[in-house]
Amino acid sequence: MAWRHAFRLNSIRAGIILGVLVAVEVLPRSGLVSQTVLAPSSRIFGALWIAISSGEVVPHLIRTLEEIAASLALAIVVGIPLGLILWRTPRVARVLEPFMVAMYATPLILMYPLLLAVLGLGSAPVIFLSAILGTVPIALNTTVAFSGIRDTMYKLARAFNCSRWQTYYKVLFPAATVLVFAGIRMGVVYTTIGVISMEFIMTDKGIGFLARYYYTYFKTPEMYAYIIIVMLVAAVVNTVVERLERRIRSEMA
Amino acid sequence: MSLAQRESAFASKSPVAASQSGDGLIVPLGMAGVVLAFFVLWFIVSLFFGYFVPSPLSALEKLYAGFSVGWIIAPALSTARIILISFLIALVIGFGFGLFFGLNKFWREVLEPMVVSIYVLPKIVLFPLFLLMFGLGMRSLIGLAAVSALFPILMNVAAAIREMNPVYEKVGRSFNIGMRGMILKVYTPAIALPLITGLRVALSLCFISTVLGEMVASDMGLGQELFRSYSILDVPKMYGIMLLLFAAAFIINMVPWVIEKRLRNIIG
Repeated sequence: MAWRHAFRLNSIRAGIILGVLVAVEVLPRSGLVSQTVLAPSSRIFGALWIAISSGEVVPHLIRTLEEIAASLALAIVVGIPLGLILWRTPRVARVLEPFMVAMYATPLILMYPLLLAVLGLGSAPVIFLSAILGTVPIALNTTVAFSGIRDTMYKLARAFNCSRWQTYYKVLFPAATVLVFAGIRMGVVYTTIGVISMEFIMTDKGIGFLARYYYTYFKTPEMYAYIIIVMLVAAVVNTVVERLERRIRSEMA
Repeated sequence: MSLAQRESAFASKSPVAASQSGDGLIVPLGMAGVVLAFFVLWFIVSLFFGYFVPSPLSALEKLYAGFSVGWIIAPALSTARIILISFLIALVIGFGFGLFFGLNKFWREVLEPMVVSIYVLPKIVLFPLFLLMFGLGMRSLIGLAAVSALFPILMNVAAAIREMNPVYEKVGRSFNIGMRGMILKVYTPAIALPLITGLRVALSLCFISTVLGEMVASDMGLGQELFRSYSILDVPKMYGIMLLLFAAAFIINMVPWVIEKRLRNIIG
C-alpha cells in the first residue's frame, strides 16, 4: 500500500512538472512572454544537452566542486576547534554569542570585491570567504553539541577512571558527533551558497560564473540551462549531506 | 519538512550556555570590549597594509561626511525601502504558504522536494530572471529579496504548525471561530517563537540579498554606492559604507533576537 501512495505522489509531481514544462514551452513561443526573458523548454533542454555532451560544463563543475570542498575543509578545521574553545570558556562564549549569531546576518560577501583586489582573481578569495561563512555554523553547532552532553556521560567516564584523553576520545566526541555533524551540514549549505554566489558576482571559472556569463550575453536558453545545473548541483550536494547526517544520526544517536 | 524542522530546531536552540544571573554587566561590557578590540586590531592592520586596509579613522570620517554632506542618505533610504517592501511581500507569501503546507498534509508531501530544491539554490542565480523581467530598477531587487526571504518563513511556519499541539486546533474549532479567527487567535500565537525566528532570518536575508543585488546590477542603493567606490578605488569610502552595512545588519538581527530570547523565557 505504501508504494501506491508513493506512486500517487510521484504522478502528481510528474504532472506538475509536466505542466510547468508545457507552460514554459508555450508562453515564449506564443509571444506572450518575450523570448529574451523566458526561453522555451525545448531550447533550454537543447542548450542543457549541448552543455553536458560537449563537456563544456565539466571543467567549470570541477572548479566549483573543488572550491566547495576546499572551503568546507577549511571551515571544519577552523570551526570545530573554535567551537571547542568556546565550549571550554562559557563566559567568553556568552560575550561572543550575539556577534556570532549576528554573523549569519552580516553580508560578509560584501568583502568579496576587496578580497579580489588582495588575493587576485581565481579560487583564493572564493575559498577564503566561503570558509569564513562556513566556519560560523560549524563553530556554533560544535559549542551547542558539547554543551548539551548529558552529565551522565561525564559520570560514566569517571566511573571507568578514564584519563582526560580517553574521556574526550571515547565518551565526549561520540556523544557530540550528531550535533557536530548537523553543524557541518549547515556549513556545507552556507559554503555552497557562498561559492556559487561569489562565482556569480565575479570570477573566471565555475558554474555560477557560466550562469552569469550567459546572462551578460543575453543567451537566455544557455542561462536557464546553467541555472538548472546550479540547482541540480545544490540539490545533490544537500541530499548527499543529508543522507550522511541521517546515517550518522541513526548509528550514533 | 525534515530539513525545515531541523533548521528551525537549531535556530531556536540557545547556542551557548544560558546566561546566568551572576553575569550582570559582564556581557554588555564584554561586547563593548569586543567592538573596541576590533577597531584597535583594524588600526594595527591598517598600519601594515595601508593601501588595502585604510585606517578606521579615515573610514569613519568618510562615513560621517556621507551623513553630513548627504551623499549616503538617498541610497540608504532607497535600500531601506526595498528591504521593507520585499520583507512584507516575503512575510505575506511565506506565512500564507507556510500555513497551507503546515495544515495540508497532502500538498506538503507532494511539493516538499520541489520547495526544498529551490530552498537550497543560491537565489542570486535567479537574479538575472528578475533583471530580464523588470530591468535595472527597484522591482528586480524587490523580487530577488522577497524570493530569498520567503523560504525561511515558509519552512519555519510549516514545521511549527506541524508540531503544534493538536489540542489548540480542536479548541479553536469548538468555538466555531472560522478560519480568520483560527489564524489570528490560534495558529499565530501557537507558532510565535519559530515564526519570529523565521522573520529574523528573513529580514537578514532581505538585507543581504538587497545589498548584494545592488552591488551586482542596480542604478541606486547602498550596494551600488559600495560598488562605485570600489571601482574608483576610494577604499576609505568602501570601508565606511561596509561599516555602516555591518552595523545595520547587526542591529536588524539583534532586535528580533532579543525579542526572541525574552519570548523564549516567557513561553519556554
